[in-house]
Amino acid sequence: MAYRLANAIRQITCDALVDAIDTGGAGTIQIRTGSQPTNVDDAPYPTLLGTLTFNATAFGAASGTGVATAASITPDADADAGGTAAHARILRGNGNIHSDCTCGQGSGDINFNNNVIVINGTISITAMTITVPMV
Amino acid sequence: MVPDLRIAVTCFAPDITAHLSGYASIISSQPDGAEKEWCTKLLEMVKFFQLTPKSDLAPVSTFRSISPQGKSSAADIIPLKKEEIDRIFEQVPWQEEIDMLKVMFEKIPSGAFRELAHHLLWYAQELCGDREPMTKESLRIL
Repeated sequence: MAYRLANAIRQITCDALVDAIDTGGAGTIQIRTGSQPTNVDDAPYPTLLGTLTFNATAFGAASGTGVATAASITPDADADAGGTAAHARILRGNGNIHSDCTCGQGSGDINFNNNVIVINGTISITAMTITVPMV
Repeated sequence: MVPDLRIAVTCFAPDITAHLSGYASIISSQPDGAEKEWCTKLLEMVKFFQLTPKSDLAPVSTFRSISPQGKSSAADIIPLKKEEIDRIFEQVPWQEEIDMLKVMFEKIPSGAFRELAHHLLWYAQELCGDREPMTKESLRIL
């Protein structure tokens, strides 16, 4: 049997994970070209395409099964550059790195319906959840 | 144990119509090569697509952002008519070609040519999905 978390621990862990985004103010999501850096804390790879901003309290309380749903997220209504979204960085309100993830089209942690970003375009989020799994 | 992240995102490009003539001159000034050839094809695709009126089919779904009050927006996803899909079929690249272009265009240096290449490619991706391109102008503030 694998190492498993009780639901209550999943909930506590998930709350701690998402609350860390709020440290120092509203966190952000940077959409970028290129693959994820080798390590999460490495300097970001090439081009920043756009930045979306979390609510000051990014997520509501996690559910009893460790699922947190994002509150409102301000879109980037004026994308910085054109490119194909390939990875994203979540930054805490104090600017420190929180996490990173893949972007894709029909795949990836961030699933675009069209992952080609156009300069001056609008990048907007329809839904965001983070789940702490049992195993 | 790795947390699972799920985010659904949409990018709305500005309408391309006002840029078409400017794009044509930038493309023609580029040295010969695959990037120039593809951008020329994609520009012709957009012009060809714009020859007919917008689809009047009912939306199949609606995109709704989870933005703060006053910035929240929605846009309808409107499918193209069968006749239009057939009409533009030869002009629109296959998904495999679009995927190849995404890699190719990433290698274009920063500047006007790179930006227009991605604007054209965004249209190709929208049309490849058999839907009216969801431009920035199609967003309704809720």
